[in-house]
Amino acid sequence: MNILVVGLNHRTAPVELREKLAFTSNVLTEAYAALKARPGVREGVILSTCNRCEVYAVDGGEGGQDGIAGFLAVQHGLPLDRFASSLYTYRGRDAVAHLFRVTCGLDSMLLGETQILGQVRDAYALARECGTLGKITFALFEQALNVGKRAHSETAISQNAVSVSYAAVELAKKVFSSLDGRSVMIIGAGEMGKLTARHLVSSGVREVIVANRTLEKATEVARQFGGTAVELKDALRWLQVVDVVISSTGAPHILLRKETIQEAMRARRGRPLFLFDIAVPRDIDPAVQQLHNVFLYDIDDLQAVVEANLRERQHEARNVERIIEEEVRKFEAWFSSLDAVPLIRSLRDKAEAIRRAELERALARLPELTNRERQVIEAMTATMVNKILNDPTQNIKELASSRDGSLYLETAGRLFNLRPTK
Amino acid sequence: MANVSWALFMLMIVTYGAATAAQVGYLRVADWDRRATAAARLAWAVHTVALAARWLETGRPPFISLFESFLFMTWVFMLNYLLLDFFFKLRVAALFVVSLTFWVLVAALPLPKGASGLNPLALGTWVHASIAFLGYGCLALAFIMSAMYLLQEKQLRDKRYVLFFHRLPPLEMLDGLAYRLVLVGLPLLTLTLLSGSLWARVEWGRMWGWDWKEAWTLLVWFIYTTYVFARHRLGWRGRKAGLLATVGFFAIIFNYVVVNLYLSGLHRNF
Repeated sequence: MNILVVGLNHRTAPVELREKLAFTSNVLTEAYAALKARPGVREGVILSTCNRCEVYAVDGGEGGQDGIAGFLAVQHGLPLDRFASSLYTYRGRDAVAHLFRVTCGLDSMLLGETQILGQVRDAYALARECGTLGKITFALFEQALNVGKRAHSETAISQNAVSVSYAAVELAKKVFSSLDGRSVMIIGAGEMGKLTARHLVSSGVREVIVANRTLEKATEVARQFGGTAVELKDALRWLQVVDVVISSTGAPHILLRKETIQEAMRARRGRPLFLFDIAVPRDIDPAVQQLHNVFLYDIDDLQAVVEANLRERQHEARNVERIIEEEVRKFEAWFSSLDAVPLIRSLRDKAEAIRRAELERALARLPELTNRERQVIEAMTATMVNKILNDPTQNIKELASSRDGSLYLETAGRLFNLRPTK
Repeated sequence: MANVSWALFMLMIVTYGAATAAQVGYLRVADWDRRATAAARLAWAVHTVALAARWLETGRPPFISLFESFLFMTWVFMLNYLLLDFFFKLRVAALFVVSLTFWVLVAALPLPKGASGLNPLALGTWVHASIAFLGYGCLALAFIMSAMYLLQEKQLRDKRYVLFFHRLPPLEMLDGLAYRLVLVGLPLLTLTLLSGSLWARVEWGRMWGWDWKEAWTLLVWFIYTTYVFARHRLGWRGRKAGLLATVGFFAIIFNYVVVNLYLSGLHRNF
């Protein structure tokens, strides 16, 4: 297989280097034009994200790995020796497997993330626009996108949250049947608190209450969510109403005592209350955990969830590898059957030429035949040729995609004295 | 027991065993979910056939002996569950429901299979028994929901997430389902008591005799009435409610096995 990928990623190159070699969207079109102009590169796709820069190419033999490395150097005005040691190259089957792994998020910094799927799709679309997509890269990227989709739907690789704020949302979903129409109170105006609240809102939470030491700051944050701003002392009253509390103040002492929560719970009549204390030092008395229907999580608890989920993803990665293995085999089969097509065509052409010549000769010797009789003879020759060639055609296609494909193609060509026409 | 229904019964146990295995498999492999559901439905289908065969063989409804009553109760229990799964997609509950059914059936194997002293074809027996089974089916499912609730709540509280944590439905949903199941089960239990004492009046000439069976059933009724009352008046939800439903279920089991086998003189089954 003459598919080739040359590139670097977050594992082989530090961010200082990656940012120098990244293609920003405005220079990509030019880069594609330059790639196309290079001799020896028949098809090419550039995949450039903040964690990787890779060039996928189908080369005509010349240029190859060094050609692409040189292309990267020229494009970024960076001497090759500055980044040559960070480059990796995969060829053939390995290149295909690499793209599939990248698309599934197995090669990502955050295992199993789904953003890369969109980035691969964008790269593919741009290459198509710029005219560097050919038959092989088209099939390769179409399949890569399908593999990515399969991985996400058939395995749990992207399922459990691997960031603290998402982990909080996921835990809340373990308690409440649905987050639709629920309410959340943010105490303090920390970034993490806001981020978590934003995730909750996008999962259906309707009402956002923002409590802060200064009403001014609370109003400012509340405006971002279309929520209600309250003063800190009123927050206690809201404890009776809201379903989720996210606390991230800079207070040096406990803000919500066990007695406070206990009182609120009495008014809630058993409705569960979810508390996220992501402040350090903590805002909520850890003893609150002992109360019925109160669920308290601090930053370490959330971190532990994230780690457990990451382990879960690592476990799932093995299932994804299995899918990739299967798909690479599928691609290989398709790829090698490509070589069979020209051979089959020349076999057919040769048989057809013989048939026509012999038919003409025979008919010339039988001028007394009626039109109908001529037709019958002509049809008979066509059927004979088709029937004879049917099995070899099928078998060449099949054998070409087997392990010794090229050997079979060679043999078939010799047997019939064919020269494949490309 | 005749050979045919015995063979069917063994086949049923095997399919329930396979279904339990499929449910365990589903915990690790997400795309086993259809397979697991199909296995549970198949097991129930075999169960139905086994029950019908027993009925044809004996020429009377198949819940007269204690053994048969287990056969019938688990059948109702599974039916209730399959309906619930159909409407609420509670795949993971199947693990508990199917394996409970499996073990109950295995445990029921050595129980007496002969008929009891009750007149099996009498209308009163029929009505009383059917209502009782439906009610117990609901309450057993309420227990399953509560058990799942308690299991998950403990994990959330201890912050230790094992095995099927990711597959368990939200707490609130489990709690709500358990409550609704009790709301259906309790009236049926009430009707069981009423129809039982009415039938006792016809058969034995007295409504209520403080027999062990009657007393225990009344106790079970009292537990579930407390459950509903505590929820409404005292705001008992979640863990407390779940524990109470669990206590109720074990009282039912005790009533069913110990009272029937060793204590009650006149009932001898349900």
